Amino acid sequence: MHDFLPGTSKERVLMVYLTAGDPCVNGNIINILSESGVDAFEFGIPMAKPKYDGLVIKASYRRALENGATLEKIFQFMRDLNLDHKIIFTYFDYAKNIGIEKFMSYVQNAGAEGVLFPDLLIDYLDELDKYIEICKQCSLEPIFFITSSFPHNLIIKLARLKPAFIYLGLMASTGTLLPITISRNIRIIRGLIGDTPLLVGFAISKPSQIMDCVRAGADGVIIGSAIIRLISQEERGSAFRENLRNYIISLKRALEA
Amino acid sequence: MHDPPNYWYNIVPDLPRPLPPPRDPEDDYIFSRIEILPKLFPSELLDQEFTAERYVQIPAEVLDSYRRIGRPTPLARAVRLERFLDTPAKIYFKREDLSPAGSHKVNTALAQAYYAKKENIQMLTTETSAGQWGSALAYACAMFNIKCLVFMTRSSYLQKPYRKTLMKLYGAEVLPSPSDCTDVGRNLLKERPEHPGSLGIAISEAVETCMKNEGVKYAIGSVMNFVLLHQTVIGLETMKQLEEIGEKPDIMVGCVGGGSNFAGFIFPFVGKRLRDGEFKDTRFIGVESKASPKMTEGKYVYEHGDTAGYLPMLKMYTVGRNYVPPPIHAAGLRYHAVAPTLSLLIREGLIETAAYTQEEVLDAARTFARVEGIIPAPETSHAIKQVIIEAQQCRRRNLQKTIVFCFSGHGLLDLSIFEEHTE
Ligand SMILES: Cc1ncc(COP(=O)(O)O)c(C=O)c1O
Repeated sequence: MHDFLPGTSKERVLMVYLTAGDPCVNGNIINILSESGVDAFEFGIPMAKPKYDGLVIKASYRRALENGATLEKIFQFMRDLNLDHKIIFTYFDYAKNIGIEKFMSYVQNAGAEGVLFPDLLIDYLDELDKYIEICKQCSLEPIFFITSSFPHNLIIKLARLKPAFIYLGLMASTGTLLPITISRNIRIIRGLIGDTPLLVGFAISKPSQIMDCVRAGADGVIIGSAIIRLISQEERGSAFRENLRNYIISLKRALEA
Repeated sequence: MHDPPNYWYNIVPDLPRPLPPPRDPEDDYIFSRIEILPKLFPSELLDQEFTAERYVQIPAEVLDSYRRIGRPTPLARAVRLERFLDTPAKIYFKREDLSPAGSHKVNTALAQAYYAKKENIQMLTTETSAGQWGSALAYACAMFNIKCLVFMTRSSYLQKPYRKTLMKLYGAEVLPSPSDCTDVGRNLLKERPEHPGSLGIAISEAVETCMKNEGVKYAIGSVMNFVLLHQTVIGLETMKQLEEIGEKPDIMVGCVGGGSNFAGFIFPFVGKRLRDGEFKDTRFIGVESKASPKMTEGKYVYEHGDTAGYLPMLKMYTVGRNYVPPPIHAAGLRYHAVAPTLSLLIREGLIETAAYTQEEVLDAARTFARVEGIIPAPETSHAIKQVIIEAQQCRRRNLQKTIVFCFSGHGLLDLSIFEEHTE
């Protein structure tokens, strides 16, 4: 297994998605998450017009933007975090506007290990080679986002490119649960990619879902909206930290079961 | 061929590039159309919409219902049309008109009614314009014992009283759309009491009805991946039937409303081409109406599947959801967009497109009726128009091509159009 992911193929990865710049995302929260077992973080860059995000993450973007988030502040925030593993999630459109090379060098400076562009292969398939080339130049790990509606040939090709991992988006948008048999889709994708690390996400919130994913062949899961929903509550109450910790522990336990 | 296939074919894993996912409007922070999909559709259909499987098993009950409507349907040869056109080309057509409700639409209606029944849904509601889809769903609901509510575009409701009668015979409730039973309908009627309606508006009324009533789900006649999936039973049968008579199609033609009969007809062939290069010289031609020229003049963009914007946006060739096409007879071709998979293949240059006017098409229909003795639906007549043009080309260049087209439905309940336009 790729060294980007902690541990060996026996170990599973719990990654958490948070929107950088969202006022409810701070060092404190990140510490709680890390200490309770989160292995890696994915930071989203807030934007006004996200393509594949559900209402929870959209609201999170909005809070971040209203809070005055800028790219500079976001990268500074990430640099300041003392985290082993972090990646960035943003749209290729957005990075193109800044300039891909420039954007990727910012990412490198912020100490992130890679960038996940969910729209890269959907809207910019022709720029795949360029993405890989720039990743190399910036010492970043290529990561690919796919959905269950990707061509099997392309998925096979992506696995051959030896990405740090492939991220399977299980639903049509983040945080939006649909009655999709995710275990079947994971099994099919796993059958195409050999032992390429496979992380899955979108609308995962329960330990039972995690167990399904792992059984079907996922190496790890990414939890986003479920955590954001928790940490963005207005009334946190005194048991908030404890609840958050217990929640993460329950997810981690499911992952390792 | 004695039995229909026991699986449907999903082209999505074989497409040349990733299928763009459904999307919500980027600037809507309050309401998610994707989130409400489970309120609209039975779960198993949504599962099929996003499946990574290439082959999807047809449940035994659906297979039985397919046998009951006469599947596999015959692949006939239009020998008299060949002679009439004096063409060296061979012309075959797949008889989707022979089902009880008169069109291919029943292939997906039966599947949708089956899954609804299985999930204890009491009523399916839908839109119809030509009346073909409504009749198919009314039939399917009767077969699986669930209630059926159909919003029928007002122009068709007035033009096609027998379609309404047929649906009622099957036990469905039929309302002219825009109706005064929904907010969408009432608002439009306020602006324009004689509003002729459109498929998009009728969809919106059906969707609104689901949203407001537990136990009611929405059935859809085209555009969604799962609809096209169910329709592949047409192409899978055709492929087998052509093999049995030792034929290879040079040209395959179908009419396009939302694209379901055409896609169902050609996708098994296109899939083989994408996977292993077979049928690489076959031309696939989709034919639309000039009244709603989304493939030939539309844009490939994200657009809602319905006028009110209740459904998620899909990346499709479209003339825009607010476009109101003139009330042509081929009401089933007035829809504003083409299914995402079909749109992607058009974009990639694998599928040719053509568009004709009502006059051109009715001439072709009259010819076919007189020569072959079978009355085509006005939608189907678009395919026939293209077939005649191709066969005439073959005559001029003395080419022995094999032309196969999807005879999507009959026009026995649309005879009035011939009265107006004969003489
Ligand atoms: C007979 C017939 N053919 C074709 C169509 C067009 O729909 P689609 O393109 O989804 O097959 C319709 C739609 O009502 C129809 O009734």
